[in-house]
Amino acid sequence: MNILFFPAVLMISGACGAWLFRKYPRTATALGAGLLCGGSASGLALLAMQYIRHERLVAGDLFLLPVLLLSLAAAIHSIGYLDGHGSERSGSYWTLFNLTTAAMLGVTQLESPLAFLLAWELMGAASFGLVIFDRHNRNFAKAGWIYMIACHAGAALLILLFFFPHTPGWLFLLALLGFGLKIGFPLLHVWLPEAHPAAPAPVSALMSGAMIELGFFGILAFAIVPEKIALYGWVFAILGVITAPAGIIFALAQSNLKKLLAYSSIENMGILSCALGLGFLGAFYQLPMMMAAGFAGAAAHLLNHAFFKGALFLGAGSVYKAAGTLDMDEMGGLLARMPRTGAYFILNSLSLCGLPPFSGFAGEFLIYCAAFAGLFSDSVCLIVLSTVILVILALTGGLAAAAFAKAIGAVFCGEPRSDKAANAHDVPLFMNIPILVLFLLSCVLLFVLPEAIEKIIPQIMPGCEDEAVILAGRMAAVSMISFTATVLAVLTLVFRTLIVKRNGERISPTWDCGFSKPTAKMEYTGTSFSANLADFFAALLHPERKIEQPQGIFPAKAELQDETEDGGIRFFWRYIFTGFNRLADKIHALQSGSLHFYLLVIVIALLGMLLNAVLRGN
Amino acid sequence: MTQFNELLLALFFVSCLMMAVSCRLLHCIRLVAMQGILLGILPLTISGTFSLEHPVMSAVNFLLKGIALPALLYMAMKKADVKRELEPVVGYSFSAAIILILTLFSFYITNKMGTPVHSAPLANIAIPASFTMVMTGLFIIIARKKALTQVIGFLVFENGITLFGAAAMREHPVIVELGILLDVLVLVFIMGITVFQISRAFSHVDADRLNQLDDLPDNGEVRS
Repeated sequence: MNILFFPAVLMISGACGAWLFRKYPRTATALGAGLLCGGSASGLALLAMQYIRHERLVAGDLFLLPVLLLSLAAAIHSIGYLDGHGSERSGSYWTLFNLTTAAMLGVTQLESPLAFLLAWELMGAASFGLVIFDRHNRNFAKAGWIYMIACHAGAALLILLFFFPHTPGWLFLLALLGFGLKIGFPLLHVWLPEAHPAAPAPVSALMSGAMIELGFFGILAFAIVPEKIALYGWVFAILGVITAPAGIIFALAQSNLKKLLAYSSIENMGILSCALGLGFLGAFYQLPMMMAAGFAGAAAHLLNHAFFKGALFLGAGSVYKAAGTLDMDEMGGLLARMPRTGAYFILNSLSLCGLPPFSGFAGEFLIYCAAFAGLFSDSVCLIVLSTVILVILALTGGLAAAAFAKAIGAVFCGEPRSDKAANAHDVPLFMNIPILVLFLLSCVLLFVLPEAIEKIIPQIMPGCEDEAVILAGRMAAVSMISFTATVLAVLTLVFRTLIVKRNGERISPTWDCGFSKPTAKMEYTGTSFSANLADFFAALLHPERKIEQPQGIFPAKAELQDETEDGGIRFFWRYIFTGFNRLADKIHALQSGSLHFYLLVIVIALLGMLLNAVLRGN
Repeated sequence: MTQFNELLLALFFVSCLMMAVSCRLLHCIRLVAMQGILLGILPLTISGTFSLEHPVMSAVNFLLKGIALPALLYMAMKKADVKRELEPVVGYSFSAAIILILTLFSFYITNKMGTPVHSAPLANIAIPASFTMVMTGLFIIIARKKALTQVIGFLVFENGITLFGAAAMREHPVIVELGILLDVLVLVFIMGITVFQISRAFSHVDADRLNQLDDLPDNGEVRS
């Protein structure tokens, strides 16, 4: 019996309990959240026990870990988040939440295709219910609609994938499309920036941190045959090279905080795809260093992304709860009003950008190692690809830093730009703890990474023992640097506190650029902060800009509005769906309402069949 | 006997053609009645063998298709007080051309298919005749507007099926035949009643205007 039988049963009984007691929201919350947390915690315990007993990991476990951790964190955060955002319907919320989590456990653990597909569908359906849960959000219907179409299109492709025999190439293509709809590869990503902002924040955290990564699990588990690794490598690498910068550039142009995070998820999936591509290519070109570093980087980045994106979405949820809006141009100054949320959000976003000394850097460093190893191959194509990946990774990292500088600056720094933001208060402590814990877990990951690499890589990839030792050495150096930096930072803080205690602190206003009475309207908004970069990438973004220039000596009004609609919808799907609509209109002429015409059509069809049968018969 | 059978079958073709060109409702009903009577005679003569089923079939066909159903239609026509002219969608000469083409088509199909092994001696004419009747029935349903003509078309269609049964299968289970007949009887009853009801509720019995039965106010032709 699978180790996750017990947790899944707990979660499903939690779902049933929450549904039965849906008339009594408090009981439903207690049952649903309690059993979910119990399930996740027992799952983690069982996973740890299994690891200690056998000292080895299966691929599913790697994807399972984010699911368990994030469901636990998101469940605790939800208890606070739902208060005032649909707590009267918390019965259905917990039912769906438990079902989603149980289905995700099933996805990682079930091996038979039919069971996997059922779990996959359940995951999509239950999370669809969660996406449309927040009815205050005016986009919930559109978002839910897009999400449902994406889920079902993916499932349709997966049915083709599982139940009809294919050559490996077709298999991979179908998996890439079907699972890619979950991952958010370019043009298949359109549901992410719609569904994530509409869903309740803990749900976005679970979906963005754990669910979209399951798409990679699906591809790796069901569509990979050893003969074709070169193809997989090239496809993953090239997809990643396109996805990562495109995602982060769109993230830059957003003014909705959760949309920004959603696009950043697309970027991170791109980086993950690059890492996997490098790993496969390393295996194909017999470069053990590249292979080991690529796969290890993919695993580390996957975990990192799960931690940080989960934490950031939870943080965005706290901000939404406190300020009542997700529009970054209406926020500002929240760091002073909600210091804990702000501090954790900033730590997590710095780490997500891959800046040292945080754990995000360690993951990306491994991927850089893989790409550098690729430079020493004999194949010109691989050298070119590695160079491109290096450049793209660096570019993406820089842009991610810019995007999160925008998010942090617009949301937390400066002065509040609206009354809602000015009156914000920090959320209860128990909502912040999951965010902090996720960050601390990533720090733990940073320090166990060297040992994990040394132990696990030789198990999974025999013949990479030397490379594992080298990589572990490098990672040890990275964690050493991080450790030193942390110690230095702590020491600086301690010294500062001591000096302040001795000499006293002088508080004065920030320099106000010579204005006598600066107001919040003079601040840079998030949009104006990123306007230059958005201009630079205007060819890609096509922002719709409304600008009203200040005029005269005493300008009264000036305005700048940037709206960047998703490129995938605007330049691809819209045309496809309009085409379908036109076709449907043409076919609609057949439905004239005239009885005679219907009969004529039927008779013509029947006569055609008769003729066909007669001609075939001879 | 063969010549007599050939004559009967030829009459079927002729009735189909006349049905296509006739412009009066009463005429159409008479043609249906004629087909029914012909169907009453045919089973006795065409099979070449004799068994107890054939006279039973003949009697039932004669009574139902030759007398009862046309009488019903006639009564429905009287009661509903419909105009006696047909309202064709397709003109009469063009209709005749179509029926001729359909006749050729049936012969072509029968040639291609070949006749069944156990069929009656004249099956190579009887089967095309039955196909022609089926298609004529469908054509009348499609190309004539009145609700009553739909019933007539349906009857012609059914006559075609009966003829096919009589011609293609000598050991035709009589129970199947009778079951079909019962269906037709019920159907014609229902349609007759429906036609009557339609004509009572509306000023017309044109089936092609029944699509206006939506709840839009502009085409409400309902008598208050």
